[in-house]
Amino acid sequence: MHLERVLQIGVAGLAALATVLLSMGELNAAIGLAAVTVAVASVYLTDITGWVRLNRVTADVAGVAAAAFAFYQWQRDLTEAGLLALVNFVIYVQFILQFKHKRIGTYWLLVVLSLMQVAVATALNESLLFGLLLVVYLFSALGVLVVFYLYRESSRAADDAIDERLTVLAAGPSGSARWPVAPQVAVFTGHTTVPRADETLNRPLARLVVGAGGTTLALASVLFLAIPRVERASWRGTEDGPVQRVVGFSNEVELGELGAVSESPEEVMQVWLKNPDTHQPIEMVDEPLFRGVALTAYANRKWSQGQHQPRTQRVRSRPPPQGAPVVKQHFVVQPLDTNVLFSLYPWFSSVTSDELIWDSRDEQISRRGGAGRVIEYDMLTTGIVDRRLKPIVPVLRPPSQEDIERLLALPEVVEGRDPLAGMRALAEKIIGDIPADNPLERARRLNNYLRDPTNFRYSLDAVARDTMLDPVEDFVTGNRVGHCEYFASALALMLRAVGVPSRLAIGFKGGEWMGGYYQVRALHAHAWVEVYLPPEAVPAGELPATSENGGWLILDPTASGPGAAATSTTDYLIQNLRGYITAARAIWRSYVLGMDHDRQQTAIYEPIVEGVVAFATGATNREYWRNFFGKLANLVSPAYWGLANGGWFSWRGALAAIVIMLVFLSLFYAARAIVRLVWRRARAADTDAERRTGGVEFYRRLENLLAHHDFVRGASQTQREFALAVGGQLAESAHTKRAAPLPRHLVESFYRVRFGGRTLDTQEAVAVERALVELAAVLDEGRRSS
Amino acid sequence: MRRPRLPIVTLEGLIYLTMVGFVLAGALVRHINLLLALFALMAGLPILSWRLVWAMLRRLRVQRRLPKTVAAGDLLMVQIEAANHRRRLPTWAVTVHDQIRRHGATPLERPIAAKTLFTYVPPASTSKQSYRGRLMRRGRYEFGPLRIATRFPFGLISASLVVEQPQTLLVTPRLGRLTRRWHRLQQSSDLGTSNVERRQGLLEGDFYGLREWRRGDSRRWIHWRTSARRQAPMVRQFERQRNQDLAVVIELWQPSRPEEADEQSVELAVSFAASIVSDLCRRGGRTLWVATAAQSPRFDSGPASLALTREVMESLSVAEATSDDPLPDVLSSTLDVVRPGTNAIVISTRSVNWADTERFRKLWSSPRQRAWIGRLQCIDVTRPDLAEYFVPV
Repeated sequence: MHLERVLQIGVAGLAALATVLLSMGELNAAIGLAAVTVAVASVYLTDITGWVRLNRVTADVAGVAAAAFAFYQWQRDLTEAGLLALVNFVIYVQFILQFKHKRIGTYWLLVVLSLMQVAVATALNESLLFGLLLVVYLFSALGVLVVFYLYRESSRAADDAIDERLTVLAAGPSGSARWPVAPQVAVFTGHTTVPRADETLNRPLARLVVGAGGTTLALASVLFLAIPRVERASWRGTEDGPVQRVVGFSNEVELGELGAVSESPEEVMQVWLKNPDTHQPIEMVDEPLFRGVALTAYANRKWSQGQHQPRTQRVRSRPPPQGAPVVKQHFVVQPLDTNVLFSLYPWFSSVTSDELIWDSRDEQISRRGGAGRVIEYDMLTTGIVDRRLKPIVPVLRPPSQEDIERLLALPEVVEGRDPLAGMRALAEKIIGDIPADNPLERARRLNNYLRDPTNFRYSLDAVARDTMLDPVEDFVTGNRVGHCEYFASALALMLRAVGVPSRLAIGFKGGEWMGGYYQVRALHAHAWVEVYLPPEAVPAGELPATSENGGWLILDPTASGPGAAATSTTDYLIQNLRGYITAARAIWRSYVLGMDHDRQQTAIYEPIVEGVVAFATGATNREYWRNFFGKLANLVSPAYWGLANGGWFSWRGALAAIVIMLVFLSLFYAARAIVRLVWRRARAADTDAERRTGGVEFYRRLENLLAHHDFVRGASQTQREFALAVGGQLAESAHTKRAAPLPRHLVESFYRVRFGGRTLDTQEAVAVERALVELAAVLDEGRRSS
Repeated sequence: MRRPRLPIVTLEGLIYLTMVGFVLAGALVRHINLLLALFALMAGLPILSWRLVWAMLRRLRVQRRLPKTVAAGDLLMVQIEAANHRRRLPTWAVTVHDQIRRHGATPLERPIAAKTLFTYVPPASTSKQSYRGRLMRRGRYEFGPLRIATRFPFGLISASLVVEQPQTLLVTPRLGRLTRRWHRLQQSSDLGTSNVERRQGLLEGDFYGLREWRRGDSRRWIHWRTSARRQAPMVRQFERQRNQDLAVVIELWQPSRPEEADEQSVELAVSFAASIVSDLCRRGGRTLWVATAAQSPRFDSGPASLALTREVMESLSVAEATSDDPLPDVLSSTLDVVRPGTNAIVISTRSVNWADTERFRKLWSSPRQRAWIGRLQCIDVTRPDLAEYFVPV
């Protein structure tokens, strides 16, 4: 294939990609589709077959028409949408150029136009997909630029060759009267043809382009994070972009909000679960549910704690019941915008704290104040058995009738219309003939129904809800897509509809196991359901004998969402992939689109400064290094990389393996380069010495000895000349006079060996040795005397 | 010696940087992080370009290979060898620029630029390319320095190294075609049929033998002793050398303010003389004396051979016209050394009047040289009848 053909295809692809990116911003799929069509058509019809080639006049007329059309659109609408018409003009020009016979300048212009479109598209887009396509564009553009440059250089050289031939033809016709004076200047040139693609576009070039793309990405990342953002400016991307909501913990749940939900990777807390006797960290088999608040009232699409007087009091020592397996919890909670604190349920405390308070009605812990600072506290729980959450936990305070009523309350029927009629009918249909005195079975059946992925689908994306319906009614009966709040709300309300008291629990589910503790982030926020089971409904053996108040059945109805258990390897991979996509979206929103002054300070500048300061102050501190190596040890433990639970694959582990491999590879190459450098220098020095001394050991010793006494052979001196010169100098001093002939004798021996091809016999070897010793002694004596 | 030059931002690079500036301005004014990310992506490229253009030139050695001589107007091929001493990284799209300057050129005369492109040089290997062209004027040319330049991979930044690698090339005069008439003239001159000459003494040629007297023979040729013995008139018979020696004197005169026609005449004279010498040397069998009456007079002589051709060509290559009149002295000196009986041709850029006793005083004052005057052939290259002897090619 010719190099130009590769360039034509590359430029057409790049132009089409740029227009597709722009069309994503304009929300105009037609223009993206048109760009792809034009790219394919122009390559075939114009570049390959040459059937359609706009001449200059036609192209100019088309350009003017496009400009007029764009101007007309802009005149009609002077708003931002009108301005897009002007941007579209760029696309029209691109289309026209693609159907022209292309010269070098045309290719360059198309590349520039594509870059302009990408610049405009960047101002209009903010999706993660756009970011990924931007990276694709980067690599494509690099490849096209390289091919363009190679083609341009070689075709220019070929053009010069044609010029040269013309010059010679014009200059030297035989018998010309003006010959040979006139044609004094000749054009010299090299290449005559443009090379074929396979001569230049090879694997090393592909490696170079990929390497250049990777390096550019790395440089761009550093530059992007380092460029200081202006204080008090909103760096949130486009103002009119799609509405997004960041999921995290909150005291209330409002359903039916518009837009997609994004998850934030911000750290919320670290949780250590330990055996209180052995202090061994416990890693759960299933994901722990760190409960924050319980919401009991649902009205106007909103869950809240309802109108009740909180019964708050100081957290006092409350030991767990005897015989129950106890797990110690240690929490380090980062500054939050709420006073609510978290714990596995049920919680107990071995100490009395002035800092913590609790609401005895909803069993909710909170702090007295100072939500803006880090807080550490310890709790005990009996909710874990064999590293698994207990499905039913004891009710610590017997609920009153009023409490039961609150747990059964549903939205009011307005004007005879039940807002949850469809849901109620469905719930009754699902429970079928399960008797009312078996709330456990009713709850489990409804839960299973919601968890069935064939019935409901988990999604954080925006869902078009029927605004005339209650969001839960719409979720259950119509658009069966939603996130955990919808699933939990549906289950709680369905349970209430069939007479089972229940409430919504808000907190965090799971976290990242860091080898000894759970790192809980905002994206781990979750909603689930607590179902009240009276004492008679609790199966025997589920609760300690001392529990006489009934139990809370904990149900998580969210289907295939965060926390859904993987049942196969494929599920496991898909679940992981989904999780990482979610995390990538969160990082994209927080650290790319939302990188403002505050975030830059807290996420970039301050950690760097703190790290430097910590190193400067702690480098001499043994504890600092102990912590440092402790963290390193954590990093190399399989548990840290998500392999402790018997899983055979972990994205995190794979990424870490690649990074570690790259680091070791870099270290290996660096070490090899250093060794080679040292070896080369040493060898050069040896070779030099070898060359100078002819490889004869005793002569090398002689030169070293004389050099030690400042007699150095010049580059132009032969060994004999050097020996004579040294002998002459030694003869000048009375102290060294007797050693004057020795260098000459030694050099004569050296000549016999080096150039005569002889070896020294024993007598000669002894004589040489003696001469060296004597010379050394005399030289030393001479130095002392002087 | 390799001298790196400061990298230059190319036109494409300037356009690109302007776009980068616009993107940055847009990002800062509208506080759009994604535009800032695009700026960061775009800004990384020139930095990478700067690094890669130097990487392309690092440990790349180039060498020029020239022919020993070339005739003016002939195709000259100069081979450039590029050796990539890097172990892993190939070299792409490196252009080697060369400069060719005529020795003694006026400052206004711009050096000739030549270049060749190395599209791809694999690591630890050598590639050869050549550039070609025609040097239309004779003379000594200086080549170098070589400049190795690249804008690879993106064409945004150009870096170059200058390699001092001076070399010279002798461009010999362009040879023309000698006509049949010229060859006939030459033969008749060799055989002595072209002009009536006095056959007396040494000038009559070498003694060959005796024969009977024929009608028309000169009485002076009668060998009286043999005639008496044979009782019939016998005459001496002479034979002249067929391959007679030749002296070529070239006068490269031009006015002090020469016009193009004058320069053309000089070049024609040089080309004509070079063609004659080349032709005779190729035939061999005689001795040649070639004298150049130019700014720096030169004199070459010897048996006609390839070696003499080389010497004469070298002299003619660098011969410069003069507005002085060195011809009388050069001619006199030449005739002093040539053997008697040698033919002599004077090729001049103007007409020569041998009767001008004032100009050729030395010639007329020496009896030996005066004898040559009648035998000197003069060819004025400005006359149209030059075409009868010589056609430039």
